[in-house]
Amino acid sequence: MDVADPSDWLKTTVPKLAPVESALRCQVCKDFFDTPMITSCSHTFCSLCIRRCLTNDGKCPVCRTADQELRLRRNWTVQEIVDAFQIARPSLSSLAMLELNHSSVEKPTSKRKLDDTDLEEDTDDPIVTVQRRKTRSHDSRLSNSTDQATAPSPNEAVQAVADENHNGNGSAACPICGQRMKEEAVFLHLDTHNEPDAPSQHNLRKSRRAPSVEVVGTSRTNVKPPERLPQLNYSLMKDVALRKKLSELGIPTTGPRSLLVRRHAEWINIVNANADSSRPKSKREMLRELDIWDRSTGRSIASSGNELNNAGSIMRKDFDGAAWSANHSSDFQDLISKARNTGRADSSPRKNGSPANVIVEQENHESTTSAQLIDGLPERPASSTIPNSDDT
Amino acid sequence: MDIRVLDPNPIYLDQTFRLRFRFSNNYPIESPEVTFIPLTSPPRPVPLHPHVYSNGYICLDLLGASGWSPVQNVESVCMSIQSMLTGNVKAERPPGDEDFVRRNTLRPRDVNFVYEDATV
Repeated sequence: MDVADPSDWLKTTVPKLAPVESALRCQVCKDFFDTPMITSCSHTFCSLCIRRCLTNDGKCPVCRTADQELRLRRNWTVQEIVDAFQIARPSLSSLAMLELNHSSVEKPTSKRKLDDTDLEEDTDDPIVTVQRRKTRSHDSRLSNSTDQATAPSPNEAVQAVADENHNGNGSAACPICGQRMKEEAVFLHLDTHNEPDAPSQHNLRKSRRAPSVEVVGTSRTNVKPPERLPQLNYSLMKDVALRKKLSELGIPTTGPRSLLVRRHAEWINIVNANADSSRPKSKREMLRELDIWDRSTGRSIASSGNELNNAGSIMRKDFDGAAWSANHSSDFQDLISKARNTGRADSSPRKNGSPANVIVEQENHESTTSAQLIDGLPERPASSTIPNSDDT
Repeated sequence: MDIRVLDPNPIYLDQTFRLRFRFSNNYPIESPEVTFIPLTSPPRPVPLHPHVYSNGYICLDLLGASGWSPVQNVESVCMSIQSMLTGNVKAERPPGDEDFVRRNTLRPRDVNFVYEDATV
């Protein structure tokens, strides 16, 4: 499987794009920011990532400053940059590879060929065009100042890419997959992608004349803002109440208490991260995410979190057999000697088994002390022979 | 994962060490379990260091629950271990190494190390 990585750029003509892409990725999951949130210490992470981190230890993963989920704020600008970059990435990389193959001296900007319909853009100075685009997007955002309408409109970015995709011989690269084809064929080709997130170039052309508010507005008018869930104080809740809460939320209520708590916390994180998102998912999708979590992380909690559920931990794939037998060697010894004693005790009258236990304990104690003496240091006081495992 | 110390530190000159990373399902929220693995061929010793037990366990705050941060990754862990080795001047095992190795039945993550020594 081919996974996009910042290091991809190192092999191209523009290795300096590697740190650019790294900066657009979440430091926790190493993927492109998904619903970036900024902490009160001004670090940015995916909403779900930072919520999981704060649930775990309440600290910013980068600087370890204490923070709370309530203080997280959305970072729309970063979302826009990431969306734009992701759309631009395929054509950017194909361009960078192309240049490498042809060892061309031409710079990408000099290849820009103006589209006939873009008469307003009759300047070759990239800085000027960028500035104008910036102003435009700024204006459109001012006109729809509600919180909802701040969804990123990647139109500008795609235009920039589309402009760069034209080269001298009239062929253009698809802004989504980077495949090169005749300019007229791009529109048809784009329809084959069918990605809801990637706006087709038809939309782009329209939205250039119509204000981009309309595009943003239509997709969002019917969506009511997703609700956020409050956190619970689990220590104040009884098992029954917790299970009831989970079933009210429509999530699985199976497993030991520790798993219920973690599952509820994970569900809150998923739901609240979804509420932050500009592209909220359906509850079914979120439930699927929770199911994935349940089958990976949740399963290990269920087996390790509950001490009584020993069978589960033995059955685990990564079960450490040696450590287990060493850990419980005294128990095993205990059982063995008990079994031997019962053989002996059968002949003699016994009360309720307790004397046998005492004898076994004494035997064990003696054997450990003698082992210590054999291993050396007999002249030192007994306390110093106890190893200080904390010592480092 | 093999690592080398790139500095001309005489303790680790011309040696290569093998590290084992074990990732839980909860990575990167939880730290991976990282230990040195001794091998005979190719020769991969457990480096001599006051914070590395002879069974390969590494006493490094980064690898414990308190020092771990989800922004760490395999690369940063390797670099930390490299710098831990290269900054070392004492070719010795931690105090109580023999006892620890003989008696320890816990996995590295569960051992309660106390990070008191900031000098190495």
